[in-house]
Amino acid sequence: MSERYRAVGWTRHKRIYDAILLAGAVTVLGTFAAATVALEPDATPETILIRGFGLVAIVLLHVILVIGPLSRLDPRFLPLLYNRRHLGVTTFSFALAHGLFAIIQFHALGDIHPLVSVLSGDGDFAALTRFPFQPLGLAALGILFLLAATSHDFWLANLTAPVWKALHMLVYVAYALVVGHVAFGALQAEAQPVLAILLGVGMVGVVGLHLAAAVRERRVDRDIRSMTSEGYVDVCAAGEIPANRARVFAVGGERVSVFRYDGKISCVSNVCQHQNGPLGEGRIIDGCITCPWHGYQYYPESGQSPPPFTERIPTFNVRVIGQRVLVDPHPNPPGTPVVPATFPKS
Amino acid sequence: MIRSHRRRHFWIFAILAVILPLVLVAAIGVKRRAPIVDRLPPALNQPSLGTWNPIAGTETEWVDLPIHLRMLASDSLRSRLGVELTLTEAFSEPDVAVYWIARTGAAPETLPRNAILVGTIGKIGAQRLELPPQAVATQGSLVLYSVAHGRVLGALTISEPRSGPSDE
Repeated sequence: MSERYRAVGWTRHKRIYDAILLAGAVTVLGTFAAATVALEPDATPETILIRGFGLVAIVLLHVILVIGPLSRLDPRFLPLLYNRRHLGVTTFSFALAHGLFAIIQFHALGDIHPLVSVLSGDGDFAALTRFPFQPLGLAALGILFLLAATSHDFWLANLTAPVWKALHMLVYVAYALVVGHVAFGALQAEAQPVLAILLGVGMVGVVGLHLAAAVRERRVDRDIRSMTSEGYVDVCAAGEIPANRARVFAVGGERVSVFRYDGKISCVSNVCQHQNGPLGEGRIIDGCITCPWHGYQYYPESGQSPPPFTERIPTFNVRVIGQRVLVDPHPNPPGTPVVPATFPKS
Repeated sequence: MIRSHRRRHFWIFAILAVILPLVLVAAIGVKRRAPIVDRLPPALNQPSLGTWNPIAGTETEWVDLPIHLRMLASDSLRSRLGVELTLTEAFSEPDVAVYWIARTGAAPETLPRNAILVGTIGKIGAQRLELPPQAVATQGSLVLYSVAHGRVLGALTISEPRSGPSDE
């Protein structure tokens, strides 16, 4: 969150994150190059670079893809999510280097345009035995470019978070294309099963974690609460909400966060305006609901960000009757102040 | 995420959980089984023939090709024969194979079916190749063949003067 435009708001956390990211990428590249030189002395430098850049890109893509579900399943992984977009841009950079080197090496010296050569130079889409792998890689690179180019908050703010999130879900399509690219490309030339095993393990990890997280989320969405005669939804007992934290419920078709703080209870949308992060998994810091993803803040009574920031989220009318917390399923317009319910001591 | 995205996310991964394993299994299934070569075929794995002696009177120049040839013998009985091919210029063809055929005369149009692979040449300088055992008893020719272009580059009759001495 920034009160004025800055291309990148560098913080110590981001610098450490990026330093670890670059060190990891260089380590993978260096280890791969050293192992290749040792095991395949005839491999040329350009071949090592093409393979090495591709390897780093696919490793980073796996890391990117597991951060989301890991954070959903275990909040200890949330710090990894904070700067995930830098990971995405770095992945695209390595994938671009891989693609450019490969095009120069295999397609640039012929008598047809290199891109035409990439798209028509190998295989046959109708034959599985010679399925062309290079167009799959090119398509994945195109998607990664689109995602890297729109990764900045400028695009997030102008496209709106739901559209931006939907656009960035294309990374899953890119992943499927990359799996096909490797399976019908590099894997075909490998005599040893190592690459197939690594690709399979990565695939099981990514798909398994996403499915586990998705199933858990579905369970929350399907947990329908009973409605009272006054049109309120009975969500929980007040004592079940931890202090300065929230519980999340599916109410009226979307999720709400019911926060308890200073003997009061407020209810707001669970969706952060920044990247649609889960506010209910955050906590109250300095009197504000703080998103666990990037630290965006909102007052629990009004759903407004503290000045000078202007983000607003919908609020919900809430009552406490006896020990039960009741939520009106109809949202108030974003930023509407609502008197918090008081939390009676039992 | 908003609920519609969560639904989309679930179905994307439900589909990927089916498609991706199929892709991997299909790719492994159609993988061409490349033979693992742990040693070269005999024709390509010849000894250097460094101790073989040139046979006097067999030196000749290949017509239209930058190759100087002389025959070699393994011993004074000439129980095994070889050739030393010295290239004075590199070939434009990348993969020139040397065959021996049991006939003499003009170069054949195509590589005969009974041609015997002797080895490959390409580097500037001298290379020694062992001829097949048939060459001891039968007069024949060397044929240069471009594998990439699928054509015969030339042929040269090689004859061993049976009474001539070796340069020992």
